[in-house]
Amino acid sequence: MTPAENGAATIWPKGESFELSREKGDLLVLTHIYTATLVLGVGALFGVLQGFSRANWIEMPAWFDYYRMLTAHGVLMALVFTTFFITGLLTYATYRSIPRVRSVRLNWIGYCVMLVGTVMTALTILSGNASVLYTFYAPLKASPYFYFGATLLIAGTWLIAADIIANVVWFKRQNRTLPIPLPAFVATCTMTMWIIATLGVTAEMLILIPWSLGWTSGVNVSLTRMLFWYFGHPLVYFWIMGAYVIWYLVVPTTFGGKVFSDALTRVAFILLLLLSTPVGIHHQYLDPGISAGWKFLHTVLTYGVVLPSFMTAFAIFASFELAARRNGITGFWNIVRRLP
Amino acid sequence: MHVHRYEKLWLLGGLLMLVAFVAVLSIAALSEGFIPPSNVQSIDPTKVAQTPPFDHPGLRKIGDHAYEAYYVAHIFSFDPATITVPAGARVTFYVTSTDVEHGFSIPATGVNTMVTPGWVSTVSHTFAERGTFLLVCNEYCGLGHHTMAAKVVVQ
Repeated sequence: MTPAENGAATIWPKGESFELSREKGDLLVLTHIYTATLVLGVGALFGVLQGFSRANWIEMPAWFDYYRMLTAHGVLMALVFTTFFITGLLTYATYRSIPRVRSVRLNWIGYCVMLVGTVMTALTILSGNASVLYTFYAPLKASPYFYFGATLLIAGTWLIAADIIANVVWFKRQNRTLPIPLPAFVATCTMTMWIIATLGVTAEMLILIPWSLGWTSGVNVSLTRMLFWYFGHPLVYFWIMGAYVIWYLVVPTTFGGKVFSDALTRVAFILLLLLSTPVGIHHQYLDPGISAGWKFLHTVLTYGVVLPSFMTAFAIFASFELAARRNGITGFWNIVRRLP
Repeated sequence: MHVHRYEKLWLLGGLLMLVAFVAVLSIAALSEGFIPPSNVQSIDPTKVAQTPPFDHPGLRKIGDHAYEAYYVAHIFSFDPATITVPAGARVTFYVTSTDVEHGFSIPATGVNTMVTPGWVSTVSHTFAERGTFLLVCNEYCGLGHHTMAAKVVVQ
């Protein structure tokens, strides 16, 4: 080990115990990822059709209007594809770093709830009863099934989060003195951030569902917008943290390398968790109902993301370099040329 | 926790960037007055047609080259559809919505704000050059959203 490798850590623990009920877990994870990929394909198709239709290269039939297609594209890509992919990825990170004979039932139930929610939302959009785009700003009103479906999608992710946290709790009970394995730690961090963020959109749903059913006559428009962006910005961090899981854990693994620093990886994820709120108002600069002071505060807090971003940029390239040096590759151009 | 010397320098660079961004932002907002439209003036969205001055939307001259323009946004048009002002006029727009969320934007000018039912948005602009400016709704408001536009004529 060279001095530069101080603190560099192996990412995935090794041992026979990893084969324990591995098939069940792999099937589960692959189902999440394949579902995400399928949704990505369908969402992309709507995106291409929408682009062609906007450019007047094709004419969509009158019964399939532009905004319906745009809503389907936005919801499938931004909300559904990303969510299935990340729940699959985090489940993988947790299962592969915590060896045990485990039940995967709770995670499967979560997956099924997410799937039912997705199908309900997608059918409502495609039937033309929810052309509200993926921001669904009230008082633009969708059919109650749109809001029910979206709520089920979120409820399902909470069950996945519960499964991940249950595995981490099991690990801590078995190994009181050991730190939580890095992949399970970052999965827990990401899911904690997600639970906090989705409380906002769930609160919004509790306002929109009775209104959509006709039980209440109006909504507080500014409140629903604020609740949406309380969720909407951390949603972006959910994507980022998913990407970070790949950059910090998966990419170095493909080099047979190590993560540059176990501790700093944990710090980066904790920083993102802390900085995920309150920042949502920077999506509402032009809202007349929010005073300039709040807009300023949220802008400053949003800039805080500079720190985990810089840490990550450094750590990724440092782990490339460490992997190269271990293989005897030195010199900038040699590293660029010879790493996969 | 061991932190590599290069990483310390790198993070210090990031921290300095953060300080620089916040400094630029603070100077722009507090000293130069670059503040997004944040009027925080409420209105009952169900009684816009009875609430002065929105009961008579349109242009008011309030001084030499100074105007106020009161707009009501609703699906899928603006009222008034056209206003005409002389070149050099400083116009303060007051906009509210009677139904859903709309946008209020004149491209290539600083005029851009959300129009939220229940609130009055304001934004000001000096029209130095002659021409016809397109005023568009830039927040999706329903199936006729792309047809929602008005005109500002500067003579």
